[in-house]
Formats: sequence, structure tokens, C-alpha cells
Amino acid sequence: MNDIMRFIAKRLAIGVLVVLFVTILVFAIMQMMPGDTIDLMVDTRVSAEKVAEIKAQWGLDKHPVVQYFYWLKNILQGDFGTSISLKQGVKELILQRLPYTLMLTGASLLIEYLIAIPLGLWAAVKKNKLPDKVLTVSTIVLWSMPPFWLGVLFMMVFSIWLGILPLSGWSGIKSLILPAFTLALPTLAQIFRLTRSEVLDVLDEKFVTTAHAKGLKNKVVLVKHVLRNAMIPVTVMFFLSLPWLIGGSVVVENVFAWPGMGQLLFKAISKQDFVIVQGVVLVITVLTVICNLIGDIVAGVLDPRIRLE
Amino acid sequence: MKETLIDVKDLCIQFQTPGGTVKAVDNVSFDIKKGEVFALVGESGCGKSTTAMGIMQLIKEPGRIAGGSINFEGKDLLQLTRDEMTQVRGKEIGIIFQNPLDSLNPVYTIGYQMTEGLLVDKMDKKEAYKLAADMLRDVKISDVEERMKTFPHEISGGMRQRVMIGMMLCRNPKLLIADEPTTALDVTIQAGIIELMNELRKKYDSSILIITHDFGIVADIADRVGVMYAGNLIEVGEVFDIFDNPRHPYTRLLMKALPTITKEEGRLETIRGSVPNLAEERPGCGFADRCPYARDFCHHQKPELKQISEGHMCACHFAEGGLKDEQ
Repeated sequence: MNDIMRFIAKRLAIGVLVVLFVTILVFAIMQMMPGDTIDLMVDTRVSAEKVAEIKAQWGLDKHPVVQYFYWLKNILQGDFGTSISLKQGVKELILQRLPYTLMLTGASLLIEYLIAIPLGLWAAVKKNKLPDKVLTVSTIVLWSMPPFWLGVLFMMVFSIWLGILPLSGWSGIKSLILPAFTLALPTLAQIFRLTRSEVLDVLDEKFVTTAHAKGLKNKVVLVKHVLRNAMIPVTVMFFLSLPWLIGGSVVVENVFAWPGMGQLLFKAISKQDFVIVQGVVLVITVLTVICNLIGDIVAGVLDPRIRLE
Repeated sequence: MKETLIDVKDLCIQFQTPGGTVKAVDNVSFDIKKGEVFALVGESGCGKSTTAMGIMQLIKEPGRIAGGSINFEGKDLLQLTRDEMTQVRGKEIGIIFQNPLDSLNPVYTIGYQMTEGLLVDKMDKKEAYKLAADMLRDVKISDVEERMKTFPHEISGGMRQRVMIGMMLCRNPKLLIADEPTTALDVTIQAGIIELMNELRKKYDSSILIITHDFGIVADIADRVGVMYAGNLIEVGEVFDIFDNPRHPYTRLLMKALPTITKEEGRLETIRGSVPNLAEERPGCGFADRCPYARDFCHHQKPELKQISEGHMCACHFAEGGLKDEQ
């Protein structure tokens, strides 16, 4: 138990460094872009003195390094700062958006894993037979479809032609269906293929033959011996993909005008509102570090051969 | 004369490959009596392991059983449905494999895997645990309580093979198939495993089909021997007959190839040539190309497995007349 605590402590310490590094990098990139938020907001008729005054008011006249440390100092006190373009607290902005993003990504995760894993198992068992061939080809098609295109296609078919689902935005639970599937389908294809290939690998293992030789029923062998082992990499992938889903899908949220984190980030970048960008990136980075750690711990629980060191 | 436990007749197992149909097991017939140890010997790829997997009906694609019958206690295993065969596996016939390192599932404890088979019989969990622990003691594993909680990767290869044997014996099968049980193990551990199997066989009175290419093991444990070559069973007999009076040229050469300490010369005898391609149609004797006694007709006339004396059968055109040494 002590070993695990030390492992977690070590990983968290490294995680803090990773988070610091990422925020510095993102801050530097934002600074390197020509102009800033104020330049984008003010009209050309505003005098240069007035612009300088507004900039000074927001602290934008200071050296970038100083600005970064101001931001860092505030973050450490739990203050995400105020958005320059929206004049709203970044923490409030994120908290407003987060439930929508969690809803969208949660729904799409559910669709992905609940459909992909059984299908992957089925295709592997029926290797080279009709179900496998149909599934393999159709998932390649899904995988190759860009989400923005798929999203627009769905909108056209289900909202415009059939008129059964809302086009975009949030107007109740029905609004969730199209963006969730748009986000889920390409990833579903990926998880399906991973599950299929892992199951095929495990099916070749000697211990599966042993399980059959013991007189276990085929179903029991498939679920308890094959799937149990094949799920190890799939579970790790699940945890690795979590932070991206929580960060929100920039593309899908924009296509569907979904009021989530991805859209917030996209708008902030186009307005060069570094306070929002920094805040959202910070949330995503921290989640990445934590999810990676949880992924490793879960892998260690699922596979006793993995030592946490 | 003891009762016959399993009677394999004309078993054919074929693999469909891009290069053609490979007849891995071709018309193999043998029987095993109750309480008997029958050894199948032969070089790699001769079909001995495939025969074992055929009896268990665990042949993987693209292989299939193409014909024959396996009579086990009055029922033909090849006629059983999938569910019926599932009930035979483990309960009636157990099998242990060549490589104990990957024959156990890495994510489950020894205890879980030991009891898993027992629980199929609707046995109480506690009872199953007790039985599994007793079985582990029988296969000479120390600190059983502790071992039940460990994972396969935490114990040695020899110990894993003992666990495998215990796992397959704890449901007390009438036939235990041991497919090269010692090949992947150290020589010192080999002897222990063979001794263990001998002991357990006496204790549980099960028949054993042992598959090996090691004549040392055959001499140690077997009552009768079947020699396989290129998918055919070419000689069957009591272990003494096979060692003292081998009739098939291949068996003779195998005996000559055995290293002995008494031999003065340092060179090992070898059999020239190599095993024929099983995907090709061979009208004659499979060994003809390598046989020092082969005549023309050997190449296009297949010899049948014929009885040459009480309990001794051989598939060679010259088996009855005897072989003149002319090399």
C-alpha cells in the first residue's frame, strides 16, 4: 500500500511540473500572436492614448513574464481572472459551460463503449465471417468521416428533412442526440477495432485453451477469460481519452452551437482572450494528469503483472 | 485383460492452408485401457499434439476433424453436441499443456483458477476451496493457503505445471492427456513432474495419454507406446517390445539416435532427410524417402498397420519378414 502512495505522490509531483509547463507554453503562444484582445475589440477611430489607457487598466502594458506571474499568483489563490472580451469571471464561465460539456461527452462515451465493446467481441469471435467483414468495413467508413461533415449530414437528415430532432443549440434533452452521436461514431470505430484486435490476441493465448479444457462453457470463457484480459488496454484508452472529452470537442460543439467548453475555448482563441484560454487549458491539463494517473492505477488493478513503480 | 477406456479409430484431422490440405493426423487408431499409460512419441510436427487436441475437440481454425470416431466409455465423442462435449472436458478428460508459463490466466489467482472447474459441478464454494487446497498439497506445493492467493506470474514454471496438473486432476478425470508436460522445464524439475504423475496415477487410478519426444520419459512411465510419423501411427506396442524389438525402420533409427553414456563414440546418430510436406499427396509410405530399406514399391504403396505379434503392430511392408541390415 505504501508503494502505491509513493507512486501516486511521485506522479502528482511530475504532474504539477507538466501543468506549469503547459500553461507557460500556451501563454507564450498567445503572446506571440500579433496584437491582443483590446486591439481586436476597439474601433480604429479610438485614439492611441485611449487604447493604451484601457490596456493599462487590464495590465496588458506590463511585460509578458510579469503578466504570467500575476495570472499564476491569482490561480494559486483560486482566482481564474476576468475575461477581457466578455467581462465575466472565467471561473463562472467555465462552471456555466462544464455541465453541458460533461453531458455531451458522457453521453458519447456511453454510446462508444456500450456499442463498441460487444461489437468488437462479436466480430473477433466471428473472424473473417460475414458479421466481422460488415463491421470492419463499416467502422472504417465511420472512422474516415470528419466530425464536422458527419454533424452537418446528421443535421440535414434528422433536423431538416425528417424534422424529428432539434438543429442546434440546447433546447432540452433531445438536443443531445445528434451532437453525442457525431462525437461518438468516429471514436466508436476506433474502440471497436481496438477491442476486436485485443480479443483476437487473447483468443490465441494458451490459457483460453486451458479454460475450454477445464470444461467451462463457451460464454464463460469469452467473458471471464477473453474479455477480462482484452479489456485492460481498452480501459487504459478510456482514461487517456477522458480529458479530451471533458475539454470538449471544439469542432462538434461549434457545428452544433453547443454551449460547452470547446466552444468557449474556440471563441476565446479567436478573440485572443488569453485569460479564458489559460483557464480552460489549465482545467484540461490538470484533468489529463489526473486521468493518466487513474488510468495507470486501474491498469495495475486489472493486470496483476503490472507493478506500479 | 483390462477394459478399454478410449478407442480412437481412423481419426483424421486436416488443416486447410493456402498450400493445400494438410493431413496432420491421417487414419490414426489406438486404444487406451483403464489405468494404463499410453505414450505417443514422434518428432515435432508428426501430429501427436494434434491428436491430443482432436480428442479434446479443441482444434483451432483452419483445422477440422475430417473423419473417424473416438469411443469413450460407450459414446462417440465426435457425435456429441457442443454442450455435451463441454461436459466431457475437464470432468471426464483433462489435459495439461507443454508450456505452463502461459497456460494459466495471468489476471486470476491460482485459487480462483483451481476452483473454477470445480464450481462447474455446482459444488459449494468452501468445499471447492478445500478440495483445491488438498489437490495442491497432493502435487507437492508448499504454503498452499498462501499460494492460493498468488498470481501465476509470481510462481516458477515448475510450480505452474504442478498447478496445471492439480487443476486438471481435481475433478478426477478418467483420462489425463499430458501434452509434452516437461518439455519447457528444467531437467531436474522434469523428473519430479514425471514422478508426481506416476504417483497420482496410482492414487486416482486414471489413465494417462502422454505425448512426448523423450524416450527417457516413455521408459519411466509408459505401459504402451505408439510411434507417429508424418501424421501416421506407424508402430504400436508394449513399451518393452518397442525398446527391445522395434520393427519399423523409423522406430529403429529413433532408438539408435538416443544418446547413451555407454557409447564410446562422441557423435550422435541422426536420421537423414526431413519430414515430408504433409500438404502433398503421398501415395506410398511416408518414411520411404528417408528409409534405408526402402524399395520402389514403398513409394507408391502405403503399408497398413498390421499385427505382427501379440499386442505389437507395425506399418511397414517389411515388418513381418524382418529387416535385413543393409545400409
